Amino acid sequence: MSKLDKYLRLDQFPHFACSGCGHGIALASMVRAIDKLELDQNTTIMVCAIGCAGRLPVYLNFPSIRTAHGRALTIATGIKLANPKLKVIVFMGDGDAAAIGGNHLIHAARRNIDMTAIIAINEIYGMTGGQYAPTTKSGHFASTAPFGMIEPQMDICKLVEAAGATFVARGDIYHVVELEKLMLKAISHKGFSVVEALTNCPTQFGRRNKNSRPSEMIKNIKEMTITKKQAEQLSKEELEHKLLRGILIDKERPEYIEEYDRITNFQEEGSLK
Amino acid sequence: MNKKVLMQGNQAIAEAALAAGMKVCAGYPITPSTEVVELLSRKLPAYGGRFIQMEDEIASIGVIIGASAAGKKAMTATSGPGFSLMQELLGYAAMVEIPIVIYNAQRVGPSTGGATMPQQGDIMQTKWGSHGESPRIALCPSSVEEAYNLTITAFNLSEKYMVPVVILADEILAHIRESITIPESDSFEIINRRNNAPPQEEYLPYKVDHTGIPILPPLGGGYRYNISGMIHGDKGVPNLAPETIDYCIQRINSKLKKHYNDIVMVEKMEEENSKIAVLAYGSTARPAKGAVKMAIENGIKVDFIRLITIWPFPEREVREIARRVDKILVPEMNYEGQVAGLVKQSIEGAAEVVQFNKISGLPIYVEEIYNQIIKIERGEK
Amino acid sequence: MKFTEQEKIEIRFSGTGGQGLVLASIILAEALMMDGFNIITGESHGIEARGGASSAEIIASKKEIFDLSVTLPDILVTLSQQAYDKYGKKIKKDTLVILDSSLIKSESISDSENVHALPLTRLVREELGTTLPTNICSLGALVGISKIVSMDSLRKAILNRVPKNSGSINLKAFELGFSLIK
Repeated sequence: MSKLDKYLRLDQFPHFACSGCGHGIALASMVRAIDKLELDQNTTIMVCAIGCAGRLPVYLNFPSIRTAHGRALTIATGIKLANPKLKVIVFMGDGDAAAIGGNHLIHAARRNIDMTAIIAINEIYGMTGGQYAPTTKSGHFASTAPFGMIEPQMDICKLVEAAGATFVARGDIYHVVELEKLMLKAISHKGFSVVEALTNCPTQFGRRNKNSRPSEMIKNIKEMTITKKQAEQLSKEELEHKLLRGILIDKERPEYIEEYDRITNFQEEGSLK
Repeated sequence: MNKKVLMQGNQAIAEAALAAGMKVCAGYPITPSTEVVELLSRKLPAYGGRFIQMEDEIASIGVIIGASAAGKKAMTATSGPGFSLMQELLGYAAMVEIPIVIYNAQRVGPSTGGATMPQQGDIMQTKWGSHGESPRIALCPSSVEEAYNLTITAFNLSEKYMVPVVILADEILAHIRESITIPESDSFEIINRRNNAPPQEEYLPYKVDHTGIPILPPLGGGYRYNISGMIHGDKGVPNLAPETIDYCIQRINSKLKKHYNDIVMVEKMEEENSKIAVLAYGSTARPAKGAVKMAIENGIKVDFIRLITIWPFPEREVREIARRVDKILVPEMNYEGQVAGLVKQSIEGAAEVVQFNKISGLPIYVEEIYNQIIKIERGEK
Repeated sequence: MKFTEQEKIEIRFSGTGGQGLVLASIILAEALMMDGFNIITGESHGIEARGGASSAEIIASKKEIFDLSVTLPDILVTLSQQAYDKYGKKIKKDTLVILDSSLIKSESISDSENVHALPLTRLVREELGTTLPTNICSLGALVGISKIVSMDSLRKAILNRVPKNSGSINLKAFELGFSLIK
């Protein structure tokens, strides 16, 4: 029995993920970060929605709420408004967070309510059979992009940065120790924090893009990401197809609910009733 | 002191929500319900509650579901276009049995329709607007005072039966002001959801006792269970076994039937040997009642029934009326006769249903309904 | 017509958005409520609130009120040409009409003993140096003619509803309107 077993709903196993799926690595990094932070298992709330990533937190032994596709952040916002003392972590896939839930993501980043959004990016809708996502690279293939992806890839980190997120980080499932550290920092951050975790989908993405060996896919992810330091050594052309890894934004801004309570003179019990 | 005050319908809804112990309100601006969120944004903090304006109505209902799952009473206020956007999570709330209250001030539809005019066009949407089949309660106030009282009832029913409750008013009621008596705070019952869950080791969130109603402790309150919109059994985790699907859908949809008598409310006035009945709801019930009184004063015997609960549909009460009379007049501010259809379905031909539909955005007047009664009396309808 | 003997009175205020008609209707309604009437008030919203003809209405009754809006009013107060054009004809034979003769062309005003053409806006400007409380001035005239509500209740209702620092000027406007009728 692993010391992390207490964080799992063991009666729910075996899990549904395909062999070679990278989501579990991202999820495990999050669990290890929670363990290091010694978060209370009863007051750390897992919020998720739909899709492969969206279903994973059901395997975790925390209070958990799995909502409609794209709506996880709105439910999380409600939980925080009702009880700001709760730790809220939202685990989403790229389609969930950036397509159907994109508007909620923008405004959650703008508001800066103290919670963490972890977004597993695999460039594809896995659960429904390999359709393209906003994060699919131009030219890649998907079941709904049989001639190749026309739209440009969305950079979720830049999006939430522009919207005002106070902590933004990108990690990947190859650099797993680093990913765990990023998650730890994000969860400890006061305000709205986002961690983008690049993962792989051999079944739906790899198969359509002539590379379905999980190890190869993970190696590709490794080569795709670079640290800020490495980036300084590269030319503009060399940087073209690279993604920055590490903490991209880490700043302070008043947390929404603290600010709300301050300016409204909020009374916990209510002076009137 | 039960003093009379002049209050707008929207204001009454907001004040009553505060009196019911509502602590989280989320909304998106929309005519004709906006006064509710404006007022609550001012008042909630002093009542130990928080208001937030969200990016859309989808997010608004998401917030109140999250807040309610975390143990606080929560509501949103909207109208047609916003109510349409909420259908997704309305079905979710019904499925996961998280209590919420939605105030829908019906306006002229479809689409943008007319924001400042009334309609009774969302009756079917309220029950059937989400995919699949799921329960909700809908209440139709017909005066500002009743809007106040029914808002408290809405929270009570929602908490008691772990179900979304829709306060289905319309633009007229939203915006008129009336002289009303606000009840003393100790004169009405406040019901909170059950919190006597067994210890975590024995606890299964959706295992129900004879009441059919689950006990769902607040998220973060010491229980580690899962809430999911996917078909689930007692454990609350996804389970697509045929017997679980059958059980899950049967259970959530039958729980309100079990408590029909506690949920269904109607107002009735019956005359001896009357051949005609007028059946109305919401603000239309006001002129309908006036017309019935006028008819009685003029020697025509007419029964009156006002549906206060519209979902679950009061089919027993409607059947009873149908057994008493030959014709039932149903005035409605819509085209199809959404409630007239439900009446027909309930009474299975026991009486003839005469529709009177007005869709001009103007209220129905006493005289218009009275004229219909006269026509029926003369055999012209 | 003796309004004091009627068990139900319907009143319409009409004018331009910004003239404070809704407020005037609420004040009158509240005063009528203090005098024991059941009340419904309504108003026209939307585009009309931005300068077109807008209206606010009251139904006051000693009994239960079944109607939700005014059809033909017993009393009509009109403070703009556009509003008069729109609502001036939607009245009963004996409807009491109070109109602002400083804003409504005399040739459009029908000649009847029930029509009271009073230069409300001009008088308020001359006497009080602002046109803001013209709405309250019209209430003074309305009460002076119709006697539907007690002066006491109306003064109370004014002070309840206008901003604290404008109580006295509004009371003055009210007395000014009342003094026009004698």
